[in-house]
Amino acid sequence: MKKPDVLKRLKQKSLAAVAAVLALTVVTASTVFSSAPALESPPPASSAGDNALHRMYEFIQDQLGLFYLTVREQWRQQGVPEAKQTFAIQAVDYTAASDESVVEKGHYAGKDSVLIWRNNRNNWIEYEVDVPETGLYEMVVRYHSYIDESDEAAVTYRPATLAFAWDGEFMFREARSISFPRFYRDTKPLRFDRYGDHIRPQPIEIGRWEDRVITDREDSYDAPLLWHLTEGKHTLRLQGFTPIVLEEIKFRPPSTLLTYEEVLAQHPQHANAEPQEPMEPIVIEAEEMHERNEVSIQILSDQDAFMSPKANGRMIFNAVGGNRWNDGGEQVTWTFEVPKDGWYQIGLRVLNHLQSNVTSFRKIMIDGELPFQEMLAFPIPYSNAWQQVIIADETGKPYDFYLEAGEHTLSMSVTYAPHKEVQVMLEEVTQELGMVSRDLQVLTKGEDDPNRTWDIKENFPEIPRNLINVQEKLRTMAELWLAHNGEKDSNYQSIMTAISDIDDLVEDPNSIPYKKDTLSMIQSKTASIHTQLTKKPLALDQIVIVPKGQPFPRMTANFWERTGNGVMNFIRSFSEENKLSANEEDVLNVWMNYGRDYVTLLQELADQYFTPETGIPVKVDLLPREELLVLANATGKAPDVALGISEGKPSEFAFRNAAIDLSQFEGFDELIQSFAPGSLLAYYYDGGYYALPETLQIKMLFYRKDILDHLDLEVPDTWDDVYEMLPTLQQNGYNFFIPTGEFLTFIYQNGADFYADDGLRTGLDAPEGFAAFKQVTDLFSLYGIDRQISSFYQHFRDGDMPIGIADLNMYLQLTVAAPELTGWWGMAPVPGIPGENGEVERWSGGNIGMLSQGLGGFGNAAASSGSGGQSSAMIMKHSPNPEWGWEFIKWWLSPQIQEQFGSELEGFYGPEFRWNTANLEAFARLPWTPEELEPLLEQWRWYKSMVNVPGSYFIPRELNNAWNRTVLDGMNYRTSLERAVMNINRELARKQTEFGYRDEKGNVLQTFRLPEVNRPWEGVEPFAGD
Amino acid sequence: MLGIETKPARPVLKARIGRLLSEIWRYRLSYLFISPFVIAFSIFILIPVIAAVALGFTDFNGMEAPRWVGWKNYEYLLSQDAIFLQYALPNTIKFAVIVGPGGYLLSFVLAWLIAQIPDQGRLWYVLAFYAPSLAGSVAMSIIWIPLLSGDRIGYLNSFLLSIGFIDEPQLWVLDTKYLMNSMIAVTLWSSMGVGFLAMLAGVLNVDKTLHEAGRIDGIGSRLQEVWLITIPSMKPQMLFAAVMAIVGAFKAGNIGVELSGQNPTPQYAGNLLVNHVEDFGLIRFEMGYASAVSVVLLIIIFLANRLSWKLFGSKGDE
Repeated sequence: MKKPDVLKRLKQKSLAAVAAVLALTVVTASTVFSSAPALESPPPASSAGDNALHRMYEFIQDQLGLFYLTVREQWRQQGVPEAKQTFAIQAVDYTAASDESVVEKGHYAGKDSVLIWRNNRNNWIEYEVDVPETGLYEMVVRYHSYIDESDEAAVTYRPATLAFAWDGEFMFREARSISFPRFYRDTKPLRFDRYGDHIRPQPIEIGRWEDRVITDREDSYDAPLLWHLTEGKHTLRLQGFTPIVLEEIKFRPPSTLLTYEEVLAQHPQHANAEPQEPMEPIVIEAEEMHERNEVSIQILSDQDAFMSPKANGRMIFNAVGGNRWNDGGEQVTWTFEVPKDGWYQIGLRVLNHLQSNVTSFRKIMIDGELPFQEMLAFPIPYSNAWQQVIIADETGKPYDFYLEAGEHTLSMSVTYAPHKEVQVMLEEVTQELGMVSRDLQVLTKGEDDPNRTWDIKENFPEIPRNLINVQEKLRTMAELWLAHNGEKDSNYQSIMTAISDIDDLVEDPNSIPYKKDTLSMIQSKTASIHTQLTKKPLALDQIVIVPKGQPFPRMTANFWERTGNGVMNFIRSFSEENKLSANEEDVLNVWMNYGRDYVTLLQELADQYFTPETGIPVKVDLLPREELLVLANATGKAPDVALGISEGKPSEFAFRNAAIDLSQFEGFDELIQSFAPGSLLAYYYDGGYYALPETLQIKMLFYRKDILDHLDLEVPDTWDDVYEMLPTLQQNGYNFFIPTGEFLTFIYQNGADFYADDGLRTGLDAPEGFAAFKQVTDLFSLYGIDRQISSFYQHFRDGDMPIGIADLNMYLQLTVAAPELTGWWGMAPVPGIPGENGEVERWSGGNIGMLSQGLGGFGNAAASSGSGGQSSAMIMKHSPNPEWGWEFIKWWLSPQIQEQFGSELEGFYGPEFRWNTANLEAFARLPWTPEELEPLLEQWRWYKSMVNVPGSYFIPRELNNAWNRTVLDGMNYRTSLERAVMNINRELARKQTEFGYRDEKGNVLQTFRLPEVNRPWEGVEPFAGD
Repeated sequence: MLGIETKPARPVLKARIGRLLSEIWRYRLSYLFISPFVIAFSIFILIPVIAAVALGFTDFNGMEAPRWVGWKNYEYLLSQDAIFLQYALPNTIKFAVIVGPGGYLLSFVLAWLIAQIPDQGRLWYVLAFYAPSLAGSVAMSIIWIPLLSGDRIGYLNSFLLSIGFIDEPQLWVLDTKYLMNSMIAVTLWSSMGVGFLAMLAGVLNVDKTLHEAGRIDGIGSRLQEVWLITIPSMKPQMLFAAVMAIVGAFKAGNIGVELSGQNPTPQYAGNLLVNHVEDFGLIRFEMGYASAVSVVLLIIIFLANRLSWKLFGSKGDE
């Protein structure tokens, strides 16, 4: 009966609200204009969105600059001519350098006067360039990668990267990172392990001088980069943080490339060339690479029936590539002999099956030169089986290559140049969608109020307009994609559904504020195609060269061969070594609680380095679930060494006399120098350390630059800063994220400790403990931090949680899976509390929550490092050869092996396999950018995990319960924590009785002698830059 | 017993054993046929149960050799284990009483309803109801965790907010008020397992002529038909389903941990006996005590099964 009344009131309310919002927008819009002095006359109010869009572009350009594609287009419109002259500067003639001590003029690799730049941190050198004539130039740099043979530890697989700034400015975004690859070959011949499988060969760097025509990092344009230089003197600054040896920088007019027809026209004899006499086809085995320019390009073993050589169920390397050969610019070179001059045709045996219906492109060069334009990006269509692809034109007519008798090289490099335009448009589209989403967020303040009626068309016309704009671009993208890919694939479908989703939105603009999910779906759909756009995997088995006119040999298996091979492979799968075999005698058995890929890699590394060095044979096995270790231990089948064990477990083994104290071994003290002392706490028991950390769980503060900038907020340094920014965030519908169960950070930062009385009872009932607990609970009950969210990553991506604390898995997710955010987010150390001397104390680390989970919580922690807290390496008590185990752990945790493991893992499987090693020396050498490394190192100083004593699993459990009582049930924080303290103490005492620290009556017999870490770790300093 | 029989009855005993062995030999083929089951049953059920009972009298930490402690574990369980008495036992009883009979009734009603559907469509409905029990925890994490997520974008919260039923998001799996109910709802959803299929088979198996005869004899409504004809003619299936439902209800334990993401569940609100066993066995490494608790759980399940035999046994006699 009251309903009409209520409705009426609601309607009135919503009207009032709309009016208020309108008034507010006008006010804010006008302030925006008045605060934008760059605009000469204030534009009409309706273009507020365009203005904001403009500002967003400016923001991004400030951050990164324009793409070369756009800049080149501008030059074309301005009519900048091509240069006619060639000139060069010598590398030794530099005019200034940021650090003279690392720059040396001298002799290197057969050349006399070259510049040896032993760079190890962010440095620059400058040249004065006198340009004779205004125009567009190509740049060619003659360089040699710097190989430091004196220092084994300094072996790096990273290509040198330099930024080129002219007169202090980057001409385009790509100029910020120009890469100078290193060249590698494999050790030959391939060696076998004792099962008859190939051992992955070690890459050996080839030191040679290279004339590099400067392209962008991924060689994604079909021509070298051009530089617009004006006549007169200019400064050229090269900036980078990797060592390199330079000889000369040459500038020359843009080169032109002939088409196939034009090339043929130059060879009049082609048309009436006589058919050559038949000969044996020239066969190049793809796995026998002469040279490759990226260490991550790897040979592989395929079980197909027609492979050459055939693998027959073994791990016999017989092809190259797959998804280890998919990034733009990755190039492989082979050599071959031609018996006599003549015209030849080339055929490939390839497999392009990793991305459904996506065409792969390769740039093909002979003797280092592109033979003709069509070879810039030769398409290889998708097929789920090995196929024969003959290098031919669109009609299927094979191209003829003229080869003189003698040795030649053939190079193929990954390219996605045909998709460059789509890629740039994608970038724009993601930016514009992000804009619309932020507009909406500001408009609705993050609330979904269904009672509010919007008049978007009238008041915010820019929202549907921007969407239609985006839709237009998407249409063009879809057409371009289809034209180059040739087939409709999932990417095409993603674009098409995004287009129809936008239709849904703009059809009824007034409902857009309620359809934010649709918008974020469109965002993720468009962003999802980014990877497939730029990754072009391809496996290559053979290259076959035949004289013109001679038919190619058969290159694919027929039905009977395939069937027979399939049956054989099935039978072979029952063989012994495919089982998690029993431990072998006289071998060091290592069980590893990571994924299969990690196990394979470690086995390869051990076979390559450890066994030859020490003579100790190693067998690495996958430990699929951690509780198996407990069970295996109970039955006496435990391995010698266990890796990847979660943070709390080694001490549980130690209490029960099932682990070995590592600190008794020789070399322990030297080894732990590169480990944060705080990270060792978790493995301490009774004067010894029963494990060492392999990976850490470092918590960082992640933030969205664009949104904080938009709200005019600074990245918080202390918790007080966080409290200050919260109102602004929340008024605008955003929020800060703190993971629930994150107690350690607050407890340590407030100066409390988990234990008192030397570990006999908990120290949480000290005043600092109460303060810490109050801080945690207040954040959730008073300051309105969300108490449960499904995924911070998703909220961060959507933009409604632009700032929050998470571990490094978040970093990986953002780098790998959120390409639309590239450059828009940053990392900072965790906020802290200023200490007595004014320094902000940022204690954090480990994952005590994992402790309370016990083994039951396992199974999902194995996938990647970090999610289960610190992962650890330990030696089991049962081990007959603990010294062997220690040798292995010492080798495994050494900086060289940790770094190599990390970089190979990343090289083989991609950046999402970043190895968060606990060895700082290795950690600092992983491919972080300086902006990433600096906050990470600051956080390393404050790394501190929890010591474990018998019964310590009760601490996180009871803290969780107390948090739940206070935040959800509203209990007073003091009462709640007191109850938790009581329960913890009871459990600790019970366990102390079990392990003989108290007698049956509860009298103390001995204490734990706990170590202390109270000062930031100084070991970080040598790695921190200035 | 042994003492009495050894001396005077030795020849008798010997003869008896001899007769037994010769009889076994005579029926060796039958023994051969049952041997696969007997061997598997002994290895996977009988021996573990005996081992658990034996370990229940020891102090065993999973790594060092067990130590005999007699009845101490049971004493502690009944006199000092506050979590067991305060949370695990009452929670388990509440959970089992609702999920067991509730799931049982639900499977009967659904089975009966589905039986009314024409043949072509029936398969799909059966599949739809049966699939959740197969999918297990994978489906749980995909469907229920986002559904019950405590933020605004959790499906349930989002729906209830949009119809105006609640003003702010509720923490369905963290709040102790809701956790148990969420667990019950999810378990009921996935409880249409083998028992449900058996019931369906039972309903479909009822002799059609009985229905016709009933109608001629003057059965008034479908309800009467169900009560007087369907249920009495499918009592073996009913019994089977009841046993399955009870065992299932007591065995379910991980659900609270998976939903709340915390082990043990917040304030032990969803701590069931199975969780209690895991807590002591795998977190505190007190396997002996955990075995004792699991023996208690075994006894409870056994008693509940006796009860269901009694219920359905008497009904069958009528």
